Amino acid sequence: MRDTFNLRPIIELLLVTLILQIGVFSFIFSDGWVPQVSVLFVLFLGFYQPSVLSAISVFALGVLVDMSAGSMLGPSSASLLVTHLLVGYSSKRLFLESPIAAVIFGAGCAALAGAVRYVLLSQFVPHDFLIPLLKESFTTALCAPIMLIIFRARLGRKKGI
Amino acid sequence: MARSRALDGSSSRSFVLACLVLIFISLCLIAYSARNPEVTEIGARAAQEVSSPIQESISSSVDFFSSLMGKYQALVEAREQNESLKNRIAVLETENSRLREFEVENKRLAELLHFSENQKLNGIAARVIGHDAVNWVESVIVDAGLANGVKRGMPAVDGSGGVVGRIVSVTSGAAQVLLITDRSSGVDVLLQDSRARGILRGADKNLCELSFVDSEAQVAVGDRVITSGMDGIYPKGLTIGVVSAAEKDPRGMFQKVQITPQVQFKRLEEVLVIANPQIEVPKP
Repeated sequence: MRDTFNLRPIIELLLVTLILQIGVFSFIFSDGWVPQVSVLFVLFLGFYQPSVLSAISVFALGVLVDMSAGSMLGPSSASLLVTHLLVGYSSKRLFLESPIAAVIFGAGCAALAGAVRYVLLSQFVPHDFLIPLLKESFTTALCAPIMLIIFRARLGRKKGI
Repeated sequence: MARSRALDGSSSRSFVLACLVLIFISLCLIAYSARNPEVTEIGARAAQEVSSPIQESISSSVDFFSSLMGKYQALVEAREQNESLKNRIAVLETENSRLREFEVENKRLAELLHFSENQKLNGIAARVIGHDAVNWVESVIVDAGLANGVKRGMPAVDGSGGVVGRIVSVTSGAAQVLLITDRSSGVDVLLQDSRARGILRGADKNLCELSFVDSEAQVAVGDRVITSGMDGIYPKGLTIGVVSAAEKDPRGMFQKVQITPQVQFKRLEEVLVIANPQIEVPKP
């Protein structure tokens, strides 16, 4: 099957994801309640366009997220890639159309990515992770239906689907 | 309806391989940045350069709306404070009015006391608490009675020394004062300048008239009228009022003289009941 990965809208959505998560939501929300829009982007990409280039995009997104947080590079990219791999591999068995499905998968992916990140970071800086994980999974799940609609609207449904 | 693009065999393997390689690279990045912390600082500064303008614009928008809300709240608080202050002003104005009333009353009582001491009178101060209930008699009720030493027949004056009337009935705590403006009242008086005598009686419209004034007597408007002391009720020398009109009857023996009392009976609030009316009041 031809790879119909469309790079330009992916890059646009990647930047929008970063701006939303780092610039907007981090200002509005606080104390661990920031929704992980990057996870939703990874979920969307893994579900609709899993490919080598999408994996590279996810890696780049993870590095940028780590840079903006000022922490060590790598944990976010690793956690997002693990999530992307699982979603991409099982995408043909999943349906992401309904809002309820978006909420459930959004919460699940946020929990998975958060858990992987905390496991990697706890090797260097031990800290409590259960409560923050639950907080960000909750807010990410709430944002999932709206963000997936935005992603779908931008990427269109004609190419490669 | 949208569906995921299912991975076929070769692309699936490429995808999984790419993910695994990139995960490995990420782990290497973790190890490298753990050993070289300056790398994270460079990244953080770069990210901040990009995100700070966005955050600044959001922050200024939030500040704008916050200040709007703050101003609105300040207006609401100012309004509430305004209402509270208005209520307080009303309370203070009422209290101020009461205090001024006390001040004026204090001044009147001081005048009474001063008059009593100056004239060497044995006076009993009393407050006017009512008027005659049936309006047939020109009288007032005062709050001093037998318990205070007030007796029937005692004269009463006001703070300026003007004659009010005499006690006509008394109970243990109150007494009735018949005013000189009542028709049944009679006071033996003198015209201060001409020394002409007459009997003062009440007339209409809170005035008095002088009877039995000799037609030959010199009476002029403005002449001062005082008590003569001859009736045994009022001490000699107390001020009644002034002559406001005098009319000679060419055929009669007496003049018709109208007197305007010194006391303003409609504004009377306190009186001094004289317990020793036999003394003579010196001329002012």
